[in-house]
Amino acid sequence: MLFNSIEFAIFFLIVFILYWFVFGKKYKVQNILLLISSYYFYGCWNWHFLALLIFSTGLDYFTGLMMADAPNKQKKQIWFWLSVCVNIGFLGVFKYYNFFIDSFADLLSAFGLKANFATLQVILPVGISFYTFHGLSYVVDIYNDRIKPERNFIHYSVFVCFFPLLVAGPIERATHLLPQIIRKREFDYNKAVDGLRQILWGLFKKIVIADNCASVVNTIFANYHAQSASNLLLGAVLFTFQIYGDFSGYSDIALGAARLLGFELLRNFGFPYFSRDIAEFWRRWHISLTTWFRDYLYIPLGGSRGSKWLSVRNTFIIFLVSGFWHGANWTFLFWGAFHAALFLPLLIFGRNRLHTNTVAEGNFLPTFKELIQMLTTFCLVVVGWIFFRAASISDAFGYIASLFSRSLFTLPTHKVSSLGVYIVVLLLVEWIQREKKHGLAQFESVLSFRPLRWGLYIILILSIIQFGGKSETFIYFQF
Amino acid sequence: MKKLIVHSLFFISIMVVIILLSLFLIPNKKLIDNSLYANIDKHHRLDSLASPKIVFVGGSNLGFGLDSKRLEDSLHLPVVNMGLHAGLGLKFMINEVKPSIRKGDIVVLSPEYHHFLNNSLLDGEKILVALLFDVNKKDLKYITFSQALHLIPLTVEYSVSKLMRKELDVMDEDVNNEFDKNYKRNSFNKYGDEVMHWNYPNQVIHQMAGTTVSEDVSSSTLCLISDFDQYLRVNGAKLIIIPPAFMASSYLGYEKLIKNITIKLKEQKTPFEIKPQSFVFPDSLYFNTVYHLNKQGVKQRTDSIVKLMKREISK
Repeated sequence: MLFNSIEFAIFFLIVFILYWFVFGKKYKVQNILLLISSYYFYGCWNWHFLALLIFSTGLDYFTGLMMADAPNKQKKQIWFWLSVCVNIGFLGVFKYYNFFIDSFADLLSAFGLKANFATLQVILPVGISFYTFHGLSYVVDIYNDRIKPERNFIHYSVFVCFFPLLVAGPIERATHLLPQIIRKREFDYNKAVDGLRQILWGLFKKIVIADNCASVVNTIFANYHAQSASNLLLGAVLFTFQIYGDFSGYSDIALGAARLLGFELLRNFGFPYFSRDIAEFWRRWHISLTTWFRDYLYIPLGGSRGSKWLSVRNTFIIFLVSGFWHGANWTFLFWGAFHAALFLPLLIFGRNRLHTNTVAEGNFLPTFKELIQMLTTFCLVVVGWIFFRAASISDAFGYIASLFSRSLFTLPTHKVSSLGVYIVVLLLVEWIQREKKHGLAQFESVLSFRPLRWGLYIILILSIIQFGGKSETFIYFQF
Repeated sequence: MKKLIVHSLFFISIMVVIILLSLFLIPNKKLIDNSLYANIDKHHRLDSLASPKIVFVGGSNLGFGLDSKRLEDSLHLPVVNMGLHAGLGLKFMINEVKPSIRKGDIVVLSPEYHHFLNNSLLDGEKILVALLFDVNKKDLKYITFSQALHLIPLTVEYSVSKLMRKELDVMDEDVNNEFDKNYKRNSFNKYGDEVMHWNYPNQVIHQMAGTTVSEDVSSSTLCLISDFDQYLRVNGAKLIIIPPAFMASSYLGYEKLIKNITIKLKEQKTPFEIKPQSFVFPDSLYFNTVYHLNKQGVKQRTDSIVKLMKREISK
């Protein structure tokens, strides 16, 4: 059940009506409804993996309780490592088993040794990287005495399985979401309207921008040898918008849907393509994952408390792991390493926190310097996405090498004029809204005349309907 | 909450009005004199013929694959070829002829194989919406409730597309192709056969060679055919089912599906009266798709159908 499908619209409408009109007065019953809906939502993908989801939830719930009730530190550690090992074990088997086996066989063959390991026909359970990280953060927080365990299994299960964030995040923290689950939710008109606006903007980014970019990008990347350099450049730029529209669109729909049910989820994107350097880009791209790695890997590794070189080592590890989290392919690892290579000079020279504010804050236009900084960062990000999108490292280098030819100065043969207009609309709206939470947040302050505002919403909906027929699945579902 | 509901309903009403206005008031200029208008002419002929008559029902495999005049001359019975486009859906094709069937009529049904796959072709695609709202609104009466539910999202999409782009191609035409440019209402003769292509050389065929389709036969399609057979029997008419013409190089990928269709139709006592293999012709006899015969192909297929019909009439 995709967020951009009629089925989800009907499903969500039913849940919304039951949630507020039938069970509105009892938050505990609302939680039961959310859990059943979440299981149904997940079961629509593949009901076989529901058992895995329930087992993973049950394990973390149980180990959380055991850790809290453990009589001494040693027993607490045993329960902690049991949970961590099983969680990482599931992720390893389902996501990385074949990768490690194949890579090991390749390594042996490089030394002239033949190996014939058995690979498995493993289907990756949708959302496993996301719900595993939910559970891990909960267990780590209990281990570090940051939170007390949740003793109600239903409440804990809603934290892990809440359907808006179940399959592609944002990756929540127990400290942030659990308190919202265990208290009564009040319907708030303004929040609900804001949620609807965020869903609308998310659908626009997914259906109009990402899906339209996808058809061109797929053609170009599938056959990059035969494309002119200008087509390759177009493909790389369009993929940059595709992945942003796809993933930030999904996040917007998730956050908007959650807000309609009275929840505030963690922000996942902060207009990353307006970043002035790579450090700022990483503070604005997939924020919930970046901060997860910061809190649960970077800081435990020592963070920046030791020497500069320790900090550099830890940062490099974070980027590699972050790349590898996206998938079992060398391309993702290389993508992580590429970003580390761009980030580390900023860290070494102490310039990684130069841009913690919003670009051109308080002004409509950026300065020339800011414009150059944004364009430079954007170009570097585009190069990184080539590695992310390519089928293999050699393909990525082949793609980049093919960019440097005379045909770069020819016109691309793919017609993308109307798509270009929509991308300009996306950039314009997000630029205007860059100091707010999402593209249509507090839109009444931008367009106070309601008919004009509604007119814009109607145009957005009409664009979404026009392109709705050829919807593609969300890229981040594979992670 | 009340405020949200009121505002939402008001907003939805505005959307509905816009969509309806676009659907009914904005013409799709791309459809002016389009081949879909042949549907009106075919209906005129269907309603004007006295019974007993022979009615061919199917998609473009019939439109592009029959010489009705030769059939009529050979069988001495009036013939109408209703075949136009597979995308109109088998349900619509059957329902649009039902009211005109009288005692003694023979209905020859030739669905495309794609109608037997579990897809939207049974209920119709966007081209049906274009026909219903921009070509022949009278055809709306042939739409069933379940079909309407299937068509609603397509209709909304079609209406919005009209609003955003006034010229909307529902036929997937190649603007640089001479035949596509000239394929219009007047490409059909008075019997309903597409004859313009008889004077054109074979086109490049974007064939489905090498593609393998599902082997599962849609039970809905089988049920629809069975019900149609029952309807005709009750009304004193007869149903004959023939396979579509199909290109030899594409046959392999469809072989299992076709075999299963043949078995299932036989099981429900509405069999193909001609073996599907008999209508698998060499690639050289195809015009522009795997279902569309050229003039020579039409002659060969019509010969087979004449033989079959003579046998059936003499029974």
